[in-house]
Amino acid sequence: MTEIDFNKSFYTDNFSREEFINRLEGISSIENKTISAIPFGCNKTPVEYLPNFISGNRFVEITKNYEGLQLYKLTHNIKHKEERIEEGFFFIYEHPQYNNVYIAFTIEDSQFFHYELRPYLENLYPDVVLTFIKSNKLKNLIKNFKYKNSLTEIKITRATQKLRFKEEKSMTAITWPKATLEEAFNWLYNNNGWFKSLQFEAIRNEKVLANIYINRKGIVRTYRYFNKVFEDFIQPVCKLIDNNMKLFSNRSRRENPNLAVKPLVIQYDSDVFKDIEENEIFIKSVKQIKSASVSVLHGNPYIHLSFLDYYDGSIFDIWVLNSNQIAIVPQMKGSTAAIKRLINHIFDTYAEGKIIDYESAKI
Amino acid sequence: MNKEKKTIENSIDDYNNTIHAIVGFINFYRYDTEKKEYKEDIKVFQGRKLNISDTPDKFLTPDIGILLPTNCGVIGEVKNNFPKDKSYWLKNFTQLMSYDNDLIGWTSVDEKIRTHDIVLLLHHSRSREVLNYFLNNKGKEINFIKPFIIIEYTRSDQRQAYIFFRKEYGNLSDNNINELLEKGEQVPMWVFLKEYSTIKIYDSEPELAFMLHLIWTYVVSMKASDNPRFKTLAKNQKIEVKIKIDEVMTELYEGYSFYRFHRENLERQPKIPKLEWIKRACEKFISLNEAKWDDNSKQSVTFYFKKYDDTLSYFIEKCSDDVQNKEQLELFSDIEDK
Repeated sequence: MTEIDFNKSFYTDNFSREEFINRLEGISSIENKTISAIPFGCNKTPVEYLPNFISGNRFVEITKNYEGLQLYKLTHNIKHKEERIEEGFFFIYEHPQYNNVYIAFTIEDSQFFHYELRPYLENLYPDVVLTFIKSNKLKNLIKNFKYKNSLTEIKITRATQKLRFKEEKSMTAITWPKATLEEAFNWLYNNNGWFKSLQFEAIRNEKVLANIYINRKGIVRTYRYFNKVFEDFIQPVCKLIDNNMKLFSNRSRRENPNLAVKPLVIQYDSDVFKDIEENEIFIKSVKQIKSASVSVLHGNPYIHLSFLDYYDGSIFDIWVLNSNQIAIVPQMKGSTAAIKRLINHIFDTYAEGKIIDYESAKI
Repeated sequence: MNKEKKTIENSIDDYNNTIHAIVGFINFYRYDTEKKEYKEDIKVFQGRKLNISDTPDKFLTPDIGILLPTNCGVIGEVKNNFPKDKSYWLKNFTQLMSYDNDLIGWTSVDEKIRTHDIVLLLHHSRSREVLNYFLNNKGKEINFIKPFIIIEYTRSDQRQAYIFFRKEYGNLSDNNINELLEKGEQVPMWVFLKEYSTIKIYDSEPELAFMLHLIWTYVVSMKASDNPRFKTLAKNQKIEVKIKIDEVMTELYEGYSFYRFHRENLERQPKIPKLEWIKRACEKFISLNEAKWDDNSKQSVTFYFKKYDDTLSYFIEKCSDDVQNKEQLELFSDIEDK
C-alpha cells in the first residue's frame, strides 16, 4: 500500500531535472526500490515522437511535461489467449549536457521493465539507439566505481557472456564462478569473449551497499546507491552515446557536399588480419548479422564487402586493405543507427577495436 | 561453385580491377605526394568523347584522359584481361593507334592541346606477351608517332594491399612520373579508398549480374527504404517500387561513376551507365519476375523489392542459369572487353 502511495506522489509532484535525480536517490536509499535506466540517443524529440508512435500493441501518453523531463504512461494491450492490459510509468530525462541523449528511468517492477519498457524502446530502433560498451571500458567503469567509492570488493553474482567462436555462432553461458573482477575479465579476454551483462554486489567492509546490473547496451539497474551509480555508470554511458552520435552522424553521402564519402575506421592494436585465414573468419562474422544483405566483392587477399541494412536501407562498403584496420564507407544513406549496429556486430562477433575517422587513421 | 558462377565472379573482379587501375594511374598525375593533397590544376576524365581532327563525326572514348597545366595530356587504355586469341590483339593496337592523332574535345578552352602521351595499362599476367607482340610488330602493322608507353600493373599483398605499377616500354613525357614508374611504384589501395568506394562503374558495360546488383542495392533498395513497411518487411513479402529508368541512370551516374571527376566539363561526357545497359538489366529483372514495365514505352519500371541475404550472389546465381548469358560468357573469354 505504501508503495502505491509513494509511486502516486512521485508521479504527481512537480520537479526540475536536478530535483528529479535527488528524488530517485531518495527512492533508492529510503524506499529501497530498484531504479532502472536506459540511456539512448535519438535525433527526434521524444516528447513529439513517442506519443505518435505505436509499437505493436504498445503506446504511450504524456502525463507530465516539465522542462527537460517528461512522465509517460506506457500501455500494452495484450490479446494473447485472454485479453489484458499491462501498464506502467517511465520518465524521459533529456540530458542537460548532451544534445540528442536521453535516459528512460522507471521505478516500476522488473516485470514492467523487462517485458514492457525495454521492448517498447528497443522497438523504436532505428530512431532510438542504445549504445555498446566495450569490454575494457566496462571493466574500467567498474574498477573506477570501486576505487572512487572506497569499496573493498566487487562480487559478481550473475553474468551473461558470449564467446566469439571461429566456426560457430556466439555462445551464451549464464552464471559465473566466484571470480574477482580482474579474473573474470581476463578469462573472457583469453577466451575471446565479452560480457553481455553483469550483476554484482558493491561491498565495503563486508557490507553490501548496492546490487547493480549493467549490460553491454548501457542499461543500468541499481538497488540502492543511486547517486553514485548515476555518476559513475549512467553519466559515462551518456557521454559514450554522445561521442558515438557525433562520430557516426552526417556520414551519409547525401548529407555531404558533392556526395563526398566520410569513412570510419576500426583500428586494432595488433595485426589481426596478418593470416589470410582471418579473412574468412571475418566475412563469416559479418554475414551472421540479422536483417542485412552482405555480398562479397573480394575476399582474398583483401576484403571488399557490400552491406545493405534492412532496417533503414543504409548501405556501406566494408574494406580490409591492411592487417590492422577495417574501413566502413557509408554510401548515399548511412544512418547513425546502422553504423552503430554494424560496428556493434563486428565488435560482438569478431573483435573490438578503436573507432576513428578515416582522415585521422594512419596506415 | 559451378563454372558459370566462377566465370561471372572473375569477370566482376576484372571489372573492379580495371577501375582500381584507372584510379591508381590517374593519381600519379593528380595526387601531390609531398603536400598529400589533390592538385587542382589537373583535369581528369573517363570515357570522354574525343574527335580525330579530320573525322569530326567519329568519336573515341579512352578509358583515361588527363589534361596537364602545360597544355599537354595523357590518353590511357586499361586492359585487365587481354583476349586469349592473339588474332584479336591487332584490333586492340589499332584502337590505341587511333589515339595517335591530334584529338579534339579536351577540357581546354579551344578543346585542343599541344600533344599527348598514349599509355597502355596491362595487367601483369599478360604484359610480357603483349609487349613482345608489340615489339615484333612495331614499325610494321603497329606505328606510333606520339609517345607510346606500356605500363604493367598488378596487386601486391603484403601487410597492406597495393597496386604495383611499372613501366615496361617507352617514356612518359612527365619526367618525374617516368622515373617513378621506371623503378616501379606501389600505390596503397588504402589511399584511394574513397574513390574505390564511390566508383563502381565506368564506360564499359559490366557483367549483367553486377549491373543487377548495382541497380537493386544502390537504387531500388534506397527507394524501398522510404516505404514505412521496409523495416518490418518479411522475406516472403515485397514492396513495389516504381522508378523511371532515367532516374536509375542518373542515380548511378552521379553517385557511382567517374562523374565527380568531370562534373565541371559535362558537355562531351556520355552518361554512364548507358541507357541501353539499364534497359538490358530491366529486361533481366522482368524475366526473373523481379520487376515489370509500367507501360509499352518502357520508360518506367516497377520493381518488386524483396530482402535477399546476399544480393550479389543471388543475381549471380540467377544469371548463371541463363543459357544465353553462358554463351555470351564463352564469347567474352575470346574477345576484348570493350
